[in-house]
Amino acid sequence: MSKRVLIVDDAVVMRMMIKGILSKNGFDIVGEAQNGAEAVDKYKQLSPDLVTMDMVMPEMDGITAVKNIVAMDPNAKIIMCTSMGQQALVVEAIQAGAKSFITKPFQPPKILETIAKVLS
Amino acid sequence: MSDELFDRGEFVQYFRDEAEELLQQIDADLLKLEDFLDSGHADGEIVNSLFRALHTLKGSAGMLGFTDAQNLAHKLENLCDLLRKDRMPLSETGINILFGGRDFLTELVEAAINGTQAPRDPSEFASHIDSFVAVYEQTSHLIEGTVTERKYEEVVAEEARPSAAADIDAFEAEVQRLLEQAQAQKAATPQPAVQPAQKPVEAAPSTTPAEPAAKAEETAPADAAKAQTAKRASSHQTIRVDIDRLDTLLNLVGELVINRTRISDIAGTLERLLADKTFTSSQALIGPLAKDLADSSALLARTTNEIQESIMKVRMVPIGQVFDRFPRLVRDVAKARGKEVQLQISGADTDLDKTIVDEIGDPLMHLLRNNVDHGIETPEVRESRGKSRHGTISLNAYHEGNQIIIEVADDGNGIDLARVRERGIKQGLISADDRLSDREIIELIFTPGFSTAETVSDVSGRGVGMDVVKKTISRLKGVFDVDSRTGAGTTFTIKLPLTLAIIQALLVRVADELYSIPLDSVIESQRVEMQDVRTVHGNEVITLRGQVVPLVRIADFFELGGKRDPDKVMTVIVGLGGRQVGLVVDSFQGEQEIVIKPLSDVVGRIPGISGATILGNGSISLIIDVHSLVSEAYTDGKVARAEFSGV
Repeated sequence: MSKRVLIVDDAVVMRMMIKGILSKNGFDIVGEAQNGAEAVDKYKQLSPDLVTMDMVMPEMDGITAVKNIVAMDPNAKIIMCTSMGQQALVVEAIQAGAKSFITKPFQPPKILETIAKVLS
Repeated sequence: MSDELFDRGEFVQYFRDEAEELLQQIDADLLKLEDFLDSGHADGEIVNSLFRALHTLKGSAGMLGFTDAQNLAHKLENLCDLLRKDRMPLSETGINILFGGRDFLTELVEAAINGTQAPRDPSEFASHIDSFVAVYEQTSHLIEGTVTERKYEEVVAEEARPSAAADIDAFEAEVQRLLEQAQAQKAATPQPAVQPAQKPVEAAPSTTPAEPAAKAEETAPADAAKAQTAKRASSHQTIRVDIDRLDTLLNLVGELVINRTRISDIAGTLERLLADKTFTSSQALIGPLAKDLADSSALLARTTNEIQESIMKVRMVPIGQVFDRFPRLVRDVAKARGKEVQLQISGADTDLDKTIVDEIGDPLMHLLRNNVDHGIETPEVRESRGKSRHGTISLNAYHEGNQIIIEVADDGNGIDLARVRERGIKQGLISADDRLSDREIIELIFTPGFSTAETVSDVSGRGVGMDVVKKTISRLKGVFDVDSRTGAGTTFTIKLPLTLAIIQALLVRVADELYSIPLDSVIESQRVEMQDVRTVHGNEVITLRGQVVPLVRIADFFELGGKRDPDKVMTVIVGLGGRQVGLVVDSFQGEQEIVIKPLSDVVGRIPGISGATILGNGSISLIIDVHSLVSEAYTDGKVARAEFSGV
């Protein structure tokens, strides 16, 4: 069965891109969220196998969302989507329980590689 | 970026829409920020919102390889970052850089989407930002102290570089290193880091500049966050629909409306047959048939009404889409003219047909420019007149019946009638001894080429102003009115139909033809005795409640011939912007909803006719262009011509 993914990003272009890359590679996109609060809700509803999580979002930022999700499900597999210059935030996110990170602008092979690593 | 895994083209459309929204957001945030200039300290929530918009724009542009836009957004984001971390005071220079950068971004995004060369090279502007930002980055680095100094420098260096694959690798390596370092530190310090996901933040030694930001976001006032949620939710509940599809649907509904009328016609005929006593043999047959037909007609009527309403709603968009760009416009024009102006917008959520929304932007822009430029006085003059230093322009939209009303009002000087008159004489529009009413003088500003400005470099003095506004509005079947009180202000009122496709019309018969007169311009219908019709300057007029109303005989206007009733005239009084005309017809045929079909190019433009419609019985009725008839009637000689051609 294909892995179920929740995509979290406030930018529609980003969501579409990640969705495009992942669905072409056999992933099942079960949901999208445009901020951290929505991400937490959708995670509760959908319990996806994997979450891609943007860092800078309105309402609730990515790190807070990671903390909330991990508090519900310590085994949650969350990959942070980060921009360069945010190393401190990435470190914080990973310490909060994110499993790995990918850097924008995305390189599709790298995304797939990172996901494969996290899921294995 | 490797493209084999996704098709870039399909995302460009998403990017276009998203970028437009973000740029609008940036503009709105900057305008709000400007209000905090006096305090020198930016409101956290606004700066955060600005930062996020720039950040999102940067990310999306980067994904699509729009490097110029990405880099500029990045630099502006840096500037905002300093603001939101209180490393930089809020200054006029800073705001102006952000405004300028926002405009530059718009150009770059547009060029990138269209695949064209950007009109300006951003590198100079970029270095301008850099040198401005550099001052504060250095100061803040000193404040930071020695503990995080090195890291902060790295961050700055990292952020300053444009993104490329090599940089990404370096960045990821850096994160890896930081992670390991954090891991080692954690092991070394005897801290009870047992609970995962609870408070690993404090345990982390890598408290770099990014951290307070995350905190600030978390502790943002709850109500502000809530308002944001509501706003977001509503903006995302909308769908984008291809306008062509909507037009097709609307056309279909048009056919339905025609059919509905047809069915009720048949039902009517059957009922009349039924009432005919000589038809008794068929009564048993026709009776139930008529009832069925009436029922289904009622049902059809209900359904079509619903479809019509919902389709119209799909076409409706809030007029705020247009209003959103005006605060910036007013600010810029006011700044350029050394005036202080406050723009108050209300009714931005008033819905209006998309076509009209798209067309109304430019006329409104002209009006607002005019308000700022000619209406509002300079702060000094205002003070000397006992007014507040800053002028107020209110832009207000609301529904009234089947129309939308848009008012643009200022509390400025009002239209300078003496000046308009003087310019009118200078430009040869009127002669010095013409005696004009105030209203007639105001009408002068709608004359093509009219301008009170002495030089063409004036903001709104290019002479393409008011006449164009008026033309656009009448093309949209709207009415434009000006009300001016000397010393107290000017109010422009625009009345527009909610949609251009289906209207209520009064059907009239003239020389055996059926004509449709749009009901929104009909004031009343009157039977007038011939003895009450007087002739002034060869024009037939009647007096209606003290007002002289010229008559236009439709039969003569369209040269239809036909007989005249020597005793009385049936008139439909129509009005536009305070001017009334009595259209003379043979008889009234009642009201009906009609679907407007434009006349094809083959027929061309016919004066006095704005379109055609198909009636329930399949015959065609021409729709009278009330606007052109009223204008004609008030232009000297035209009514006289109609008068003579009929004699």
